[in-house]
Parts: sequence; structure tokens; C-alpha cells
Amino acid sequence: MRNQDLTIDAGPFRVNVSTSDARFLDTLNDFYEHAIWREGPDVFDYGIRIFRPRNLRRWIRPQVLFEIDSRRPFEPHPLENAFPMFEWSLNWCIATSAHRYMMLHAGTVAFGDQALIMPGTPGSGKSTLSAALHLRGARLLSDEFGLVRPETGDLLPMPRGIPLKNASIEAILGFDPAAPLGPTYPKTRKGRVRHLRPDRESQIQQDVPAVPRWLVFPKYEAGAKETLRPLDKTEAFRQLAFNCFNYRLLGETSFRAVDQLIRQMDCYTLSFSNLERAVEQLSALASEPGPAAAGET
Amino acid sequence: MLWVRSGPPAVCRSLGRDTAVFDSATGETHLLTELPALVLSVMDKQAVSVADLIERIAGPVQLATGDENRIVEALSYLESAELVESRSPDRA
Repeated sequence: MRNQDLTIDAGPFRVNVSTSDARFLDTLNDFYEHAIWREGPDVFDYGIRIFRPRNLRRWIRPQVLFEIDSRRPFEPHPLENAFPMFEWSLNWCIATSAHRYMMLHAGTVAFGDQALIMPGTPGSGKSTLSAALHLRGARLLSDEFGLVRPETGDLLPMPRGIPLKNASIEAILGFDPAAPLGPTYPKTRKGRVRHLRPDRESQIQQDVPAVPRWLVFPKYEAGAKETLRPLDKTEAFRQLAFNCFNYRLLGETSFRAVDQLIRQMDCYTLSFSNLERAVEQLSALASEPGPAAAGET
Repeated sequence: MLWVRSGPPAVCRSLGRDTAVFDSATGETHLLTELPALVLSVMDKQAVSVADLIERIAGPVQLATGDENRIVEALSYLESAELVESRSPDRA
């Protein structure tokens, strides 16, 4: 198949993808139907090439390479894992370059124009919760990046496929058997992966920022009773700064931005084991009236 | 012993009971409880003794020994965090 170029909007970033892999192209078109430019533009933030190597691994146990601006920062992946490789590699590109924004390691969804931020390390359940809340009608902002414009505190969307790993796949299918999941990638470096496709509305509104309103630090614990506890501002500041990719790099800018976020958001921890009950608790938060008062603990 | 804050003024933001402090000299962020935050707030480039600090904080009062020790502990903590420095009087 001949090489094709696609340009995809990923929130504030425009990504050009060049590839001849038909299966990968089909998945991109399926996932980002409402975010793809069919013609132009010619200016983009990241120019990515996904291609097979010109050696034996082109044909035998075929591999695929990721190239960004003529650099190849990663080892080859099996050809069948082109889509998850693209997703993770694009995350790396953004995390290592987009310091115009303060970047939180967080799942983020919006209820109307108000955002719920769920920071957490791998295994905390933030991606699974983001997926479940999105399936119940919340606008998906991102399952991985909380992109904060430091000068305003706005949270910028970047709705992409949510990679569900291993048992999370069954958890989401149990939550919603009709969940629009992509292909199964059984042997990635993170185990078995399937992606949840962001809905049309989230993709169309990806240039509409949200105002941070709730901050919840989730922690999945097998057998735990769903418990949403208020978190004091000091601990919220500590944990939010810890979960910020570029907190130290941005210096005083991120200090002031985290301080402002903590002031304007209601802060909680959430222990959970049952996805349905966790979503009920978080959805109940979103239905509470009125914004938090500035400086309120 | 004298104490001094020789770097640029720290950026302080109240979190209610505690204070978040950004030190542009080191790029570090600190979360201080009430007493260290109070001590830091009255320090500047002029080297001062504990007695001078007490007067800055509370005016001309006589503190109990325990209270003075707590201020010394707060200063030691601030020094370990590189927010203040201690100097012998002949170096002031």
C-alpha cells in the first residue's frame, strides 16, 4: 500500500501521521474520525512516520518503527502493535516537549464546562474511571494528561483512545457491554491492551477548555469499600505537585498554578473496588450545586 | 548564632493551616507548618539573633524557654531546607 498522510487534532496539538500500514490507518480513521483533516493544513506540531524497517524484520516477525522529526527514539515494536505504539509514543512526544502547559499525570473528564481531575500513578484506576465516566456521558478530556494553561488555570482537552490494560478491559465491558473498544493487542509491553474510542462530542469539542472544579485522587484497592474523603489543602498541594510531569521544570509558574488549582477545587481521595459504585459517587459530586469558594479548605 | 535569609524573597501562599513556599534560589517547593512559616516571613538579608526574631514576631515580650527552643527548632528546620542560613556573629 502506498504511503498516506493524515493530520489529526489531538487537543491543542496537530499531528501529522505518515504510514502505509493499512490496519493502523483503519484504526486511526475509526478512532479519530471527527478529528482528522482530510485536506491540509500544512503546519503541525508533530510529524510522525510509522513504517516497516528495511531489513529482514520487514517480512519475518515483522516490526514497525516510530520516527518523529527524523529521530527514532524507540525500539521497534511488533507490526501488529502499531496503534498502541503510536499512542504511547505520541504521549512521550507531548510529555517531553509541551512545556507551554503544566502537565498533570491525570485522568480528566468534564461535566458541562466543569472538570474533574483524577491524578494518579499507574494502577490507581484513573484511566478505568475516566473510561467509565465517559461511557456514562461525561466529556472526555484525557485519560493521561491534565493539560493546564498556567496563566488562566483552564484545563485543555486532548481526547484520545483510552488504553485499558488487562483486567480493566473486563471491568469496562462488565460496566458497559456495548463500550466501543478497538482491537485487542494481546502482547504489548504493558500486557493485554484495548482502547476505548472517545465519542463524537468529545472530539468535536476538543478546542473547548473546562474549568477545574473537583480534584479526586483515586486508589483502586481490591475489596475496598467505596470511600470518598475530603482532602486538606496541604496534602492536596503535595500530591498534585507530585503528579505533575513538569512541576520542577516550570518553577514558580507551576507553583502558582498548583496553588490556584487547589484554591478553586474541592479535593478528595477515593478508595474503590467496584467501578459502578465509584462512578455513582463521582457523578454525585458533579451534581452538587455551586462552585467552591476561593481559599475554602 | 545569627540567622539570615540571603536569597531572593520566597513566594509564600497560605493553604489554611500550612504555607506553601517556593524558593526561586533553589527551585524547591516547601510545605511549612505555622511556626517555621511565621519565622521565615519576618526574615530578610539582615542577619539577626533569635532574640531579634522574637521581637519581630511578638514585640518586646519575654518568651518561656520552651517557646524560644521551638523557634530555634524552626530555624534549624528552615536551615536544613536551605531557606535560611546560620552565621557566627563575626561573619554577620
